[in-house]
Amino acid sequence: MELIRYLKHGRWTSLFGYLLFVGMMATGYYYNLTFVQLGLVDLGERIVGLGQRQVALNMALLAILTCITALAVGWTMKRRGWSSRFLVKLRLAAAVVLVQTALTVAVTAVETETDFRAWIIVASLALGVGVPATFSLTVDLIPVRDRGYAAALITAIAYFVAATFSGSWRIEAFRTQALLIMVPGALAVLALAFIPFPFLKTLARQHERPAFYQGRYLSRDPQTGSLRLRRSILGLIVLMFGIYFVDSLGFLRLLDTPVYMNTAWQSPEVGIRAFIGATHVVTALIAGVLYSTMGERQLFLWIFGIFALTHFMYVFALRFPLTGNDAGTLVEPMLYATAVSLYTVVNFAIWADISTPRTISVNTAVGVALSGWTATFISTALALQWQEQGVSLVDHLNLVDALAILFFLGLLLLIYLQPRSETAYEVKNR
Amino acid sequence: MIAFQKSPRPFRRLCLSLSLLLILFVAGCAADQPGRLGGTLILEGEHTIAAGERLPGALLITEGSLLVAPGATLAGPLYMLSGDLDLQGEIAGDLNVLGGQVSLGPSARVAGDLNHGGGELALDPAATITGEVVEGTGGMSLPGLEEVERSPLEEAIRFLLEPLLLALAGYFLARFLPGPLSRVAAAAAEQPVVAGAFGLLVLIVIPALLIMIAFTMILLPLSLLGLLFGFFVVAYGWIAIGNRLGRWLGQGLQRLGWRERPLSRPWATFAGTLLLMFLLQMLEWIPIAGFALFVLTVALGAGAVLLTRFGWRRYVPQPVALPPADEL
Repeated sequence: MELIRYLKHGRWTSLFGYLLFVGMMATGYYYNLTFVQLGLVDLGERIVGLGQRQVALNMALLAILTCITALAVGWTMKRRGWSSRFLVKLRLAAAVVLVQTALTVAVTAVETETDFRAWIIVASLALGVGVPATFSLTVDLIPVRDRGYAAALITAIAYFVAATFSGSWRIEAFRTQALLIMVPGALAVLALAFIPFPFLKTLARQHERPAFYQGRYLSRDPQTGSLRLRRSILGLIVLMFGIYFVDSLGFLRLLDTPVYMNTAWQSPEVGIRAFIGATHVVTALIAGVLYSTMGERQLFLWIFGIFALTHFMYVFALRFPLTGNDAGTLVEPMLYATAVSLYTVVNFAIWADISTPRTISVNTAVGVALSGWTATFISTALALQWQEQGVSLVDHLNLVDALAILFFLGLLLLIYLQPRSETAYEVKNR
Repeated sequence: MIAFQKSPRPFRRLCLSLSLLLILFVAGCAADQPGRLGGTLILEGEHTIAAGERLPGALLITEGSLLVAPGATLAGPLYMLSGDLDLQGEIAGDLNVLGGQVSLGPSARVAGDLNHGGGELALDPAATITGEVVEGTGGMSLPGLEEVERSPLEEAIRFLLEPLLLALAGYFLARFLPGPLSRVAAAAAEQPVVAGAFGLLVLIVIPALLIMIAFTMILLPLSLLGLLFGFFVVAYGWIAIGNRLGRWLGQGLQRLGWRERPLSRPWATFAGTLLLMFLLQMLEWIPIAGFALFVLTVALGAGAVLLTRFGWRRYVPQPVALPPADEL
């Protein structure tokens, strides 16, 4: 593990960059998980007084605007060469953190639907810039060999804090928690971005080193010498977008179901929240190790398989509820946390691993925007439509489960049809 | 990428088989034909067993409704997962209620036990239950899995006998299948993080899958087989860890001058497994940390067994082509 080697050999600059990236991304993801995804729903419904449908439409607006902004910014960054310029990306990230901190402070001023919508538009612009700018820093700060481990740390920290300390899903609570982290964080990032510390020059040149430059899923064409993306990974990535959609579609309904609230993040019992948080930590670390050592096909099989099983168990629990067995009800959230941690780790690591410093901004924008935001947008719209059509909870989850199983089958088929690429070991022993 | 020396064909075949199995499974789920399949599974619809009729074998109700009229008999056992059951007649075996709505009328008679784990149960005071009435999911526990109170002597015998039996198994495994065992041991000793992580993932997911399979009733034997298979994997993993532990033990004894030559492989495995098992049993005395260590040991062994495919392939921890480590 490169992190330990940096520590052992006293490579403090690289170590600082590594930890800076993990800290920034974990904070950003935590903010997105709690304040944006959960806090805004509370703000819209309780403070502004909007109906569920109105809030969902505004959330969909947030998703689609973020997606468009991210794509535009990612493309611009690539075109202008900012994608491989560390300081530019750091300054963009600092500006985003500053805007988000200001938005978090100003959220108490939101009282009407117009305020709410204006807040959402500014937030989506900030998020749209933030996605390509911060994810692009991976190629500067995290060596290829450690991308799985760094993603695991980010996921573990963000989910543990979000799950354990989010008992109250009220915007005020999320605001206080977020500001506690964001105010000192924003000051530190601003200082780093605009004060010319000498060590930043070292960090800015790291992406040129072989250990950082070429993502693991790129290979050099023997004839042209150019870097090419391995075809086998493309199909898997497309299927992964589907998993995001399925996850979001199921989560939206589970979130509103009282029977599941006691065994989720909003449980009043801190023990249950800590259990879910600990599951996220353990499974994120497992995912980090497996991402670094396991083939992508096996890894994706595990992710898709666990997703299908999880949704199947939710449907089963709904159809055949058992009484007098409270511990049994934690099986579903445990599996859910496992599946989510696994694919989140992959999502944090994979975009840098299909990119070079020149292409990372646009690849990240396409990947995160499509997987994170478009999937949310479509699933929100579909969930609303189903709700309006009076689709029952069990039917909703049945459909989600059927989709999850379908994606698992699709993956099996893809693996069967696609020739497997040789491992480094096989190439060496050919 | 997990690097194996053989061709990818078996993996492809596995994928195809899994696909076909899942297709069959999904097709089965989609079947919405009302009625009984095989005479013992009620999926949907309204059914009546009239007076004088007798339904042989077990009965599983997953949806729909069933009326057992006075004078009708079910051979039993009956498993109620969902739907409605109006029992006015007799069940010769157990009645297991996991879900749905069950009503036992005044003429109802259950010759076996009434296990009530879930769902709604309306019991007429005149209804006859010959066996026991067990409330809660304890009533659904699999035979042989209950907590057994042991005397101190029995406990002591267990403390000595279980490690001894596993150590003996380890001795024979090392003697007759030394190659596979040493490959598993190598994976556990040289790649503990990867083996442990993989083993933990398996420990989180597979038990849930087996429970799920068990609830289908039809696949209960498969679930039990999976459970046995799991025990085998864990035991094999422990023996492999014992093998490496015994080797280190032998080397230690040699270094201390207590032995001239290292222990032979079977005896090293025997001694190492025995030591490991005693240590694992002693971990039970340490709360939380002991349990965590126990789980990690199980995960390490199981992960190593599965990564090496029971020791038939060497696990090479070389992922897809990676750039060199950073220059320091």
